[in-house]
Formats: sequence, structure tokens, C-alpha cells
Amino acid sequence: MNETSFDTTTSAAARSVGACPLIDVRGVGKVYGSTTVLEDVAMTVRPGEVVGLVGPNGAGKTTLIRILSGMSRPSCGEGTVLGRDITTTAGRVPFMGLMVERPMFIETLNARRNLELLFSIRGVVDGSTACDVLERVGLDPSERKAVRTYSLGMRQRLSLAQAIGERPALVVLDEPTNGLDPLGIVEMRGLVRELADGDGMGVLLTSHLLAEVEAVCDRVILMHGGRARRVYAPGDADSRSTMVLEVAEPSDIERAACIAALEVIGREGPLRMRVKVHECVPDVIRALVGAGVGIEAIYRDGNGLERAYMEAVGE
Amino acid sequence: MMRQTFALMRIELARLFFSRRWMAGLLIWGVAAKLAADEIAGHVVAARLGRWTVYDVHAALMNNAFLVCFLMLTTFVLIACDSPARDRETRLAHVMMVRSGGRLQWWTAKIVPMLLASVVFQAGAFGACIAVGVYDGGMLSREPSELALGTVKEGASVSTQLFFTPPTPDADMLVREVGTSLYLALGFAAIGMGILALTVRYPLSWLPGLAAVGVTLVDRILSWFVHASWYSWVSLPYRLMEAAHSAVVVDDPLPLWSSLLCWTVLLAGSAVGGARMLRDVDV
Repeated sequence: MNETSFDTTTSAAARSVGACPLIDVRGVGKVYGSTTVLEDVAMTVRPGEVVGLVGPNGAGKTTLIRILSGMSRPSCGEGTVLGRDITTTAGRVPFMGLMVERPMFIETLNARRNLELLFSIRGVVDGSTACDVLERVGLDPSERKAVRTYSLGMRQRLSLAQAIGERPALVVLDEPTNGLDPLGIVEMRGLVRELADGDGMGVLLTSHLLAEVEAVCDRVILMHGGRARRVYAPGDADSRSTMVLEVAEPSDIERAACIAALEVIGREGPLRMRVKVHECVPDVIRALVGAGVGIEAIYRDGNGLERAYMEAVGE
Repeated sequence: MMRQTFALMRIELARLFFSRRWMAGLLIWGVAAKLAADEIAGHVVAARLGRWTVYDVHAALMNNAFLVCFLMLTTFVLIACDSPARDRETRLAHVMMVRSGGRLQWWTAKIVPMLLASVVFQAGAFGACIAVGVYDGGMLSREPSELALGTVKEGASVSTQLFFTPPTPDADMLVREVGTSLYLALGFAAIGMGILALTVRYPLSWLPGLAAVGVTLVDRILSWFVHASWYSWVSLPYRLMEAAHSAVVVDDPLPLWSSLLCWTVLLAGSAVGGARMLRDVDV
């Protein structure tokens, strides 16, 4: 494995570290003709964990999802998804909840009938499941309109419903917030966390909305040019210790920089800087006040993923 | 696995047979049957024959290369043969496949409805011929008409009919035309299967229609230039014609067994080949 390949298990959420991985792949690559679209990617997803895949268009996210879902065979690499060897497309495909981008359904039927038909293939859930899961994703189970009349947001919700309705161990969501209104995005975020925390599902999702990914994921794999460039863990100690300090006067910046309890890692204008705190926040505030720093605000850096993304894409 | 395959098949059957595309089928059946009935009526007058039967309409339709190959085959392919490509384009195939348990199950669930559709399509054409034939004054008699038997009347401008195989005088025309329909259903299914297999490799939803028109068009063009007798052996549209197997109608008839073998090999080969290709392609 070369230096751009990451073992993304290293900062996994503590509660899922011991669990058997649902996805465990290494060195995954995909070549189409002479074009390499995916190179040396390693990742794991455990039960109860939400892992994000972010990157610009063409970064290889969808190709990776297709490989993990058994729709495509990698050119190189090894590993398993739900116990199935990813290097073969023969034999049994294990069931996972799969939400695809731009979802299509049986357009002449309503949402409930679509779900009933899809769920009937495996036959593991009863007849009321379709109604329950439609309510869960915010759609009306009694709606009689055909799916062809649905907006993109409604299709997204229906697509999520088909993915989670049979309570799979692993859910793969490709751009789940695409086409959703702001309220829908907030609801989707809550639902994804609920799937992991409440239902114990492993969730792998892709999105271009970095703030949403940061809010919902335990780990985020930053992809660019077909490679996993970096792993960002919003909840780990390193991310949590990065704060933004806003001060009253430019001279306060110099005074704050002299305090041992924090380390300046970047200045953003004359009155604001990013710092890494080495002690608990109240102690840092006491030290700042003691040094005569006029504190306007101090808060946790909410743009950590965005910075990591820009660095990864810029590399 | 079997359970999942049958459940998936049921969905595919519902999708195919409740599709509005069959409205196009209805239209084409009606147009084709009317054109065949007009051809029969004109011939009856020219040959100074007596009344004709509704089964003559069907026999005429089944041997009209333009109606069968351009209109009916293309319509059938557009109705029944683009589902795998379309589902892969829209990624509905992905959510189906993870539930079906494997690619082979998904492929099987696509094949069976197409095979049934070929029978239903021919049944529809048969029904349209009977309806149009009755409407235009044809008899419902199962006995062969003078037209079917190729009776020669004195003073007629045409001596006999030569566009479908004359039955024996004691033949049951209903049974004979049902047989012709089933033969054409087999031919359509085989060509449809070949096109389905093609879309495994090239999953483009517009490809089946183009392929259906292309097969017939290329055959027409080649038939202008290639006059060797061997060409009739390799021409699929020609083999679809029932009269191509009749020594009364053509000089160098094809043995019926060769056509049955051709369709069976194409059908089975495409089904197996498609499954093998599907195993290796990215969906």
C-alpha cells in the first residue's frame, strides 16, 4: 500500500471498533482502458458507524460504491463486503440497502406499491413495512399519485425508504440530500444518525454538502483523482481541539499567541485566528483573560472538513 | 434463490404487460391486419375467387416481409427488449440485483417476460387479423378458402395466390395459423433474445429499436446485391416468412427444421451468452 492509501479504521468511532467490519477492502483500484479512475483505496465500515465519501466530481466515489455493491469488479485490490469477496461478480450478491443517485422506480405505480413490490423480492418483511418506512422518511403512505409525478426530493425520500425498509446491516447512500429542501436535509441527517445509532446499521454515504457530512459522519474519506487522500474524523480529539478565537483588537492576537495553553495554527484577518487548544476550554479562557486578551468569541471550528477538503483537493 | 427469482419475474411481468407501450402494439396490429386484409380483398377480386376467410388475412400478414419485419418485429422489440438496458441506465437494476441475490437471477427474470411477450404479441396480431377480417367481410370458416387453396379461375388476371403456403383441402386453418403464430413467436423471441444479449454488452436503451430496424434494413440491402442461394440460409428476416419453407411459393425452399434449429440455437445461445457476459460486465 503506498503513502496515499489510508487505513480508515484508525480513528473509528469507539463504539464500533470491536465489531466485525461490514466493509473491509484494501488496495482497491479500477481502470477503464488506459484511464485509472480509482487507485489503491482502503476502507472499513463497521456496524453503527457512518462513513462519508467526499470529493469533487470524478473523484471515484460512485465507482467505489459500484464496486462495494457488487455492480462492478475492481481491477485490483481485495477485501469483503458483508462477507462477499469483492473480486468476483459471480455467485450470490449479499443484500445491502442501496440508494442510488437519480433514482428511478416503476413510474406508473405509487410509492407504497413500489416498495411492496421491491420488498416482495426477498420476502423478509411483512406488508405493513412499506407504510411504516414511508412514514419514517416523511412520505404519505396513503398517497395514490404515481411515482412519475414525484419531485426529485420525494424520489430521494422514496429511494431512502427502499434502501432501509428491510433493515439491512449495511446502507450505501449516494448523494442522499440531492434535491432535498433545507428541512429535508435536516431530517435526512437525523435519520442517517438514527440508522447508525438506533438501528446499528453501518452507513456509507457520499455528498457534496460538507457541513452535512461533517455533522453526520464518524469518519470522512476525502477522495481526489481516484485516491483516498485523507481521512477526517469530525469527532476525534484532534478535530475537537481546533477552535476559532475572535478578539477585540489586533494587539490581542499577539498576546494570545504567547499563551502556552494554545497554539496558533492560522490567522484569518486582523481579529480572528484558528488555534489548537492544549488544555480544557475553561482553562484556556482563564489564561486568555489573565493575559489581558479581549475575547469576543471562542468556539469549536465547524469548518474542519472544509479545510481538510481544500487541502486534500489542492494536494 | 428460486423464490427471489420468481418474485422478481412477477415484477418484470407486471412492468412489461401493464406498460402503455402495448397501445403501440394495438395500433400496429390493427394497421398490419388492415393492410393484409386489403391485400387479400384485392387478390380475391383479381383472381375472381369466392369468399375468403379471416385466416387468409393472418396467413397473408405472416408472409408480408414489410409488415412482419419492419412493423411488427420493431414494435415487439421496442415493447419487450429494452428493459435490461433501461434499468441499467436508470440504476433500477442495482436495487433489483442486490435483492435478487445474483446477476443470473436478474437475467432470468428479464428473459421469461420477453419470451411470454413474443407469444402475446403474436396472439394480439392473430386477434387483430380475425377482427379486421370479420369487419371486412371474411368468413370465420376453418376450412381452406379458394384463395388459400390457390384455385385457378378462368378469365382471372392472376392464376393463383402465391404469398403463403397452400394448405391441403382438409386442413384446419385455425390450427395451421396458430402453428404459424407460434413459429413467428419463436422467431421473434430468438431475435429479441439476441438483442437482449447485445444490450448486456452495450446497455443503451435506444439500441434495441435500432438493432431491430438495422437487422431488417441490412438484410433488405444485402438481398439486392447477394443473389446466391446460400443467402436465404443466413437471412433471419427471410426465415421468419412461413412461405420461405414452401416449394409451391419459392424455388429453393428452406427446410422447416433448419429454421426451428436456427431460432432455437439463437435463443439458447443468446440466453447463455448474455448470462456469461453479464457475469463479467460492470452493471
